[in-house]
Amino acid sequence: MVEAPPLTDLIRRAQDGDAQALKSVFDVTYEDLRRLARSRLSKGGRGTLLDTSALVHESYLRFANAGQLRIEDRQHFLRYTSHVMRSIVVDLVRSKLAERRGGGARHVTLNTGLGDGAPAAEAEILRVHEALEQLAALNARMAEVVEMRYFAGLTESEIADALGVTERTVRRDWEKARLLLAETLS
Amino acid sequence: MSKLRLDPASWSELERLLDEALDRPPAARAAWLESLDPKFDALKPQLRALLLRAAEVETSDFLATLPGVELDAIAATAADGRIVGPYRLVRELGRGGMGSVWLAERVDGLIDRPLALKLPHVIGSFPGLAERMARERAILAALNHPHIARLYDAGLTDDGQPYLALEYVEGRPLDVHCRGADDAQPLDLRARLRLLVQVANAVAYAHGKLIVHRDLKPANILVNADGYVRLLDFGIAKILDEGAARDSALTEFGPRALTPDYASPEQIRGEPLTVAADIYALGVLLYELLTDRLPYPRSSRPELEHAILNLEAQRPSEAAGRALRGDLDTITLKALKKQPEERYATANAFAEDIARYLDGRPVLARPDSAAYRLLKFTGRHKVGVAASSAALLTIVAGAAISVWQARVAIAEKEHAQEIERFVVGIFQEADPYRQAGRPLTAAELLRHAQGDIGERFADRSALRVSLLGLVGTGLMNLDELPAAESSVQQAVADAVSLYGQEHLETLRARVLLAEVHAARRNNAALRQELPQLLAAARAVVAQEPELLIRMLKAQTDLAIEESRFDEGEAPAREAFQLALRTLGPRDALTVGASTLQAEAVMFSRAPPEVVLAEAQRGLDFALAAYDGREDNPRVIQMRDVHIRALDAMGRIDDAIAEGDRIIASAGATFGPTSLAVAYAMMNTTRLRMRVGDVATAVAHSRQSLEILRSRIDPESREFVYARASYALALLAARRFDEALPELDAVLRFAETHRGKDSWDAITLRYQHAVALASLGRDAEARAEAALPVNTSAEEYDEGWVNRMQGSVALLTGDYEAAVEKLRIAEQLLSGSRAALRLPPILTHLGLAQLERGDSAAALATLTRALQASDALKLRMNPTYADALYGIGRAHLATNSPAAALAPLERADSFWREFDADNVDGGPAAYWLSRAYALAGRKTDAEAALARARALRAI
Repeated sequence: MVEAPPLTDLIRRAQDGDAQALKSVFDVTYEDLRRLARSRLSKGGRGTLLDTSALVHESYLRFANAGQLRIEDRQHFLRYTSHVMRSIVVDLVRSKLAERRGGGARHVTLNTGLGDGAPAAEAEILRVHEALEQLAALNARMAEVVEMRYFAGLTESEIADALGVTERTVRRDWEKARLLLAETLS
Repeated sequence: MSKLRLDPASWSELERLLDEALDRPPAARAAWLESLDPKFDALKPQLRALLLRAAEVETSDFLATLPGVELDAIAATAADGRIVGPYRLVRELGRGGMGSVWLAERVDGLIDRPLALKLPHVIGSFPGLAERMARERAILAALNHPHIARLYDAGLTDDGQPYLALEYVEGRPLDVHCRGADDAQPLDLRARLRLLVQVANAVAYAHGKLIVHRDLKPANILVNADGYVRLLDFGIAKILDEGAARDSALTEFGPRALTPDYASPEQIRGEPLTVAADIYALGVLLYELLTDRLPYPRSSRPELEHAILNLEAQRPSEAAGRALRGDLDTITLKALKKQPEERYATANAFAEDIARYLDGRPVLARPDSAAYRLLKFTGRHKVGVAASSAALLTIVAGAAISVWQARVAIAEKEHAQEIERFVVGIFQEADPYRQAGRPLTAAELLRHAQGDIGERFADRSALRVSLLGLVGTGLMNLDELPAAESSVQQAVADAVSLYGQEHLETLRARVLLAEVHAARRNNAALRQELPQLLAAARAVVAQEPELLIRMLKAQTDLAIEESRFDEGEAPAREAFQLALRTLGPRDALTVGASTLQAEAVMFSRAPPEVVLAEAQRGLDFALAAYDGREDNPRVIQMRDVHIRALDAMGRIDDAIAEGDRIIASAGATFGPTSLAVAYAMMNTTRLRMRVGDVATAVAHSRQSLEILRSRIDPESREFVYARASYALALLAARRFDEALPELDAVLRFAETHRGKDSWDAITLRYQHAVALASLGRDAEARAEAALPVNTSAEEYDEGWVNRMQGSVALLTGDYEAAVEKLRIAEQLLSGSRAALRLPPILTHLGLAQLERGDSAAALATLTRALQASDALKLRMNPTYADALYGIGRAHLATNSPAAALAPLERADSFWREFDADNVDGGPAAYWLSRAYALAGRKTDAEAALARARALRAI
């Protein structure tokens, strides 16, 4: 009943379709990323023990060295992991909220009930997450920059690297995204 | 998420300007903004707001880091034992980019075996995901095949986490099994082919139910220890696909990243998918089983996509580097054709060719010209475009015809019944409120099909009966009643001559014909058929309970239609119980019976509390069956009943609010000119009149009539009801010249179909007289109002008759009679409607007293009229304005011009806003000018006088 691994070609199959190798790419990074997301979210450990750059780099190298990824896959890898990070962070926040409501509490929707029940931090994360959908409709890259920076915690130079644009472009995208998000979240 | 109101169209311009502004130092931006070319004026407010944000955001650490969240309560990994929806997670089975899969069990024990619970990652919000999942669940639940893993459930938790509960299957993926993992021997060619035949047969079964897998690949095909395959995730790709497809680039990494290895060219191109996509995937699987390689070598995604779209695959025998009989090359390459219509028409045909190979028989792999032509005929490629639910349905309908016809060409004998069932299922789910004007509508497809059946199947009578019946069913569900009737009548005739009167096939056709009669309100024909059909359906109830359920419903319909209100409830209850027992609570027929029961109770003179409780039960039942989907036509239909029940309880505001909700959701789902919207508007029009919201009543009733005019029979009850609603709304709005022809038509209908002495005809006749009187046709009006009322109608209401006679008397200048009749009317008022009827009676009484010269009495009466309106919280309406105008006149007559000003001003300003050109506003303007003149306000007086003149009040 095991579903095939994430067959995105962000992580290309290096050689002749070794599905197991790809599966392990995801499995290992997922656990790493999950730990990282928890760490980034938890007040005590944030930014001290783990940081995204180091971790992503480390797990990336692990696969590159094993010959399972090509060196130019690094860009895709960063984008991919950022996206997974966002998903994990949002999952964590949602289960946190669900728990606070006692799991089975009904009639709370995250879209409309945010202002009422959720504490500020959770609310901010979920609202940024939701606003990104709209941002992406305006400018997909701008949304991706937010994803990589806010959710994954990558540096501007890493983001520039991953997206194949200049750091100045990343900064400008970030600046505009923040204006729009500030307008949206206020 | 309400604040960000930027549409992508204006954003690119705005973004360019924003870039320009941000290039400047903050201090210089304000000046820059002001110096902008005026052509950007529209964008300036947003630009200004964003730059204002810049000032605060640039100096703060807004969004600089992810905020901290206390996570201690959450286990480090998604914990075993967690509850997701109605499931408890037991242990994780796997995890992939798409999400995680858990061994799980039902918390409530409803499904007494282990399940595989899929929890897809959903990134972003997918509008409509819950509805989509519910719809798919209903479809997929119909899959019941030994080689297909069951889908038990699909839904969303309260947190928005989607889940899919599948049969838990133990086994190994097809490719792993064939390679011989775990030290087993690799499977030989024949064993592999036999497995693929199992797969293809399962796929063919699903295609017969119009379900396309869309993501066939070895990982989705498990082989168990006994060597049986089990297909997973049938149709599930679609659930997540639809929402994702229309979203942003973000979904590039989202849950839908398909495995392109098994994707067909049309899938790569993002075109609507048909069964041909699965047949292509079967071809890839065959290729892989033959050669242990894929048709196109793995490379980057663009390269692979290019190869799938443009390159010819190497022949399997060459790729395998070993001898394969040419047949296998032929079969494989035919399945892998770039053009869908050149592939095997069905998965059965594909399986059959492999079986032939295994048996050493010659394979049939060559283009099937008949099936090819049929597929072209349905315009498979012209059909699908948008992913809106309406367009989607058309696609499904198109696919239904193509699959059905292709199958007819291949296996014409035994599957006709099955074919019928699935296509009929499609059209029964296809709601009756379908919208016209699509590239190729289901109705058009059916009418084409109808024309074709006669000649195409001229020499195959048995099949023709089924097909005529099924096309007739489809047409009936699409409200194409005359076409449906001719189809079904032909089916009955064919069946009788082929099978004789007593055969089940004949009974099926006759039941269908009876339903067409009911839909066409052909009561006489239905009344004649019904007893015999009920008896015949009872005789086969064990075999086919649907027939009896349908005839019981027709019996209830007929009873209500013929005003035998006491006789409707019993058959409706029997139908509902039978449907519940034999078809289950989610069957469309069961929900229909449940709604009909609620309706029958409403008509049965039960107390309002009972009616409302029953309506609530029906509504709960429908909502549960369709997972709370307000846009479902059956839910909308039940809501109409519920609204009427609320009204019966006197909860009119609740009833109107519910009507507004329906109008909104029906408009969003079916379009603003859909039948659903028309009926919802029609059903709330009279409620709106009662709360004095005349303007909306006119607008809605006209809109519903416009929609209905082109869509339904002008002699149907619904159309006449809509027309009557419109006529009465026009009367209330004092637009008599428009109201009169509508009233004429409605009155004629009531007299013809209900009888001259029916209560409907009587009430309409008085309304008609009021319109005549208002238009100055006094003699006709008096004559009509004076017609003797000679009726045995139970609804007869003497108070109401007096009220209408009083009004006609007032309008025709017979003030003595008016006062007398209206006094009687007031005394006879009783019951729940008394309060609602009081304002017009008192207003007309007061005006009659005024005209008679009894100003003091008029003032008192009219003041009571206003109080009665206010007590009901009625909106300002013409009747209210009349009372105000009368009060003003009474004050003038009693020499208190100062007191007259305020009420006359209110009346006049109401008319100016409500309908400035209406002559009924003239008297208020005239008397207002008098009041102004007496108060020395010359200019105002002249203006009001000019208005009165324009309205021909003087």
